Amino acid sequence: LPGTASAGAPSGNLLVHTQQPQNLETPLEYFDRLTTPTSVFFVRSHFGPPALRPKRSLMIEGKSKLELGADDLLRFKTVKVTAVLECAGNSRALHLPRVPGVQWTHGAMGQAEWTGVRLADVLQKVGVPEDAAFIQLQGADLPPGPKVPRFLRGIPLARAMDPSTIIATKMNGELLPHAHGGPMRLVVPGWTGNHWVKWLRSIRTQKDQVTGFYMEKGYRLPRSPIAPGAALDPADTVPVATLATRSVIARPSDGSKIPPGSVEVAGVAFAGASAIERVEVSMDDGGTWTKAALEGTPGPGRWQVFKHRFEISTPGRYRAVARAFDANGGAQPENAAWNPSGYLWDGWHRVGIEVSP
Amino acid sequence: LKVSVFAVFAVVSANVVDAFAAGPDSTVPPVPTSSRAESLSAEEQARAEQMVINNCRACHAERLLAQQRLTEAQWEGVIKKMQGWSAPLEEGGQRLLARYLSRRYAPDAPPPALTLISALDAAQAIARLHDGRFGGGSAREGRVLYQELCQTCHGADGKGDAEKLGVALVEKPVIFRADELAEVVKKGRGRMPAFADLTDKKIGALIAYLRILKD
Repeated sequence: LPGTASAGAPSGNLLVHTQQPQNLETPLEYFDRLTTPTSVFFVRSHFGPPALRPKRSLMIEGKSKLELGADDLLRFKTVKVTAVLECAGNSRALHLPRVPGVQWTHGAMGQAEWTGVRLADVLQKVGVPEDAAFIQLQGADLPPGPKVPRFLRGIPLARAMDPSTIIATKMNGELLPHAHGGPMRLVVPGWTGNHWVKWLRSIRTQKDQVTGFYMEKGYRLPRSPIAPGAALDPADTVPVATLATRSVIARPSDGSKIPPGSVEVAGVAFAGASAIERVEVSMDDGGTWTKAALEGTPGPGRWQVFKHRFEISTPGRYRAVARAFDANGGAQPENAAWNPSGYLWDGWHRVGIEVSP
Repeated sequence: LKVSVFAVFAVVSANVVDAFAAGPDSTVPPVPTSSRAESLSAEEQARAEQMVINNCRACHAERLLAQQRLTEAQWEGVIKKMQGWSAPLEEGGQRLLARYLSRRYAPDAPPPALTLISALDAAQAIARLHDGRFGGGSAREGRVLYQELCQTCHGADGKGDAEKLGVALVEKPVIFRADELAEVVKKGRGRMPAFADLTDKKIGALIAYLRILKD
């Protein structure tokens, strides 16, 4: 098949929310490792992918204009960034009262090694106007009709110029697959997936923040916490940006039956603005906590694997819980803050198991 | 298209999210009283089902509707947004549609089970396919056919029509998936009539034209 752009036959399975367009979730079992395999990496689409065009070019506009194909990026210094990509609506299904949108459980996230070039290097090539304060990002995915707004995203210039922000052409060492935004997508470590614009068509500097539905109405959070189910004035909202500090348990799986003995609780933890400082786990539904061992390199927008073995000799029902703490002093809350669009769910992940001989 | 939605509600649904959970992870909310209001007549139900096919389903998979499980008031909000984005509903249609959706996909129903797709099938579903018998068409001929048969609903520029609700075709993956496009053309879908007599050559010409339309 031309253009599937993944070496070897993809293996594994994804959970299906919708197939047209593809909204596919990574099964929890994969969250026990530092790198999520590309083949089972979650797929989120607003309008579905554009037609597959591996030679699609990207227009950069600052003081001057520059049209680049993925091959042209080889002129810039290549960098690699390991970062978590998480959909702003991950775990939306757990918000109560329920909110409209794809009802993701915990699998709209993954960590990959992204290869590309620094956005700052490309912007410096075209020149950044003195009065520029934002960049506007546009992908090649078109809405289904003329009255449906295009998906536009704006990010502050400072975030664009951060050395971790890259235009990626590879994911886990292979050409970026079509489903993940190939040939070129943005990578904004520590920020929610809606900023990681896929199928990049244009990037331009501008004085003012980007406008339009997805900036002014969609992807916004209450400025301060509101009661679950409460109405929200759009004037009291801010754009969703930084990932929340959270952890997710990969195993044991919820509802599993385990023989008495050693039970390992394993999962991943990450924060958007800082590194993970520690992860604590409990086997008695949060009554007592133990610090778990961490694997991987700490850093903002990166996940680390946590593991801890509990010895359970008494049969019965147990509830494993994990909670993450970040290096800025932030702690994963027991209950996520409800918001009308169901973004950034970050409550403790609880997993019930039955220990029986 | 009249597949029962209940077929997608599998009994294992509680396992989708924490099966043992009784705390914050519990996914079964209290039953809102609005979902227990009067039911729809057979005629209303038929009208609502047709509205779903003619409007919602132009862009959204049924699974997305099924997993929402919103209250009538929430559906009214969603439908209002969708009307702004197109969805030319009949007069008074939004109230009936909200009543129907909030009962068909009831807030107190368990979440539909998530099925699995292999990574290979997922990749192939958006890949380019070989043109086969639809290859080598004339874009010039396709342009004439498009203007005659398609543009009333899909727009002169191929970017869709808000009133007729023909979807955008420009730069969509289906223009490189000839067999799929041909099936829709020959059988019709939702509001779209079937063009059963269109020859492979003519469909090939339409595809060639769609590929040169600019976004």
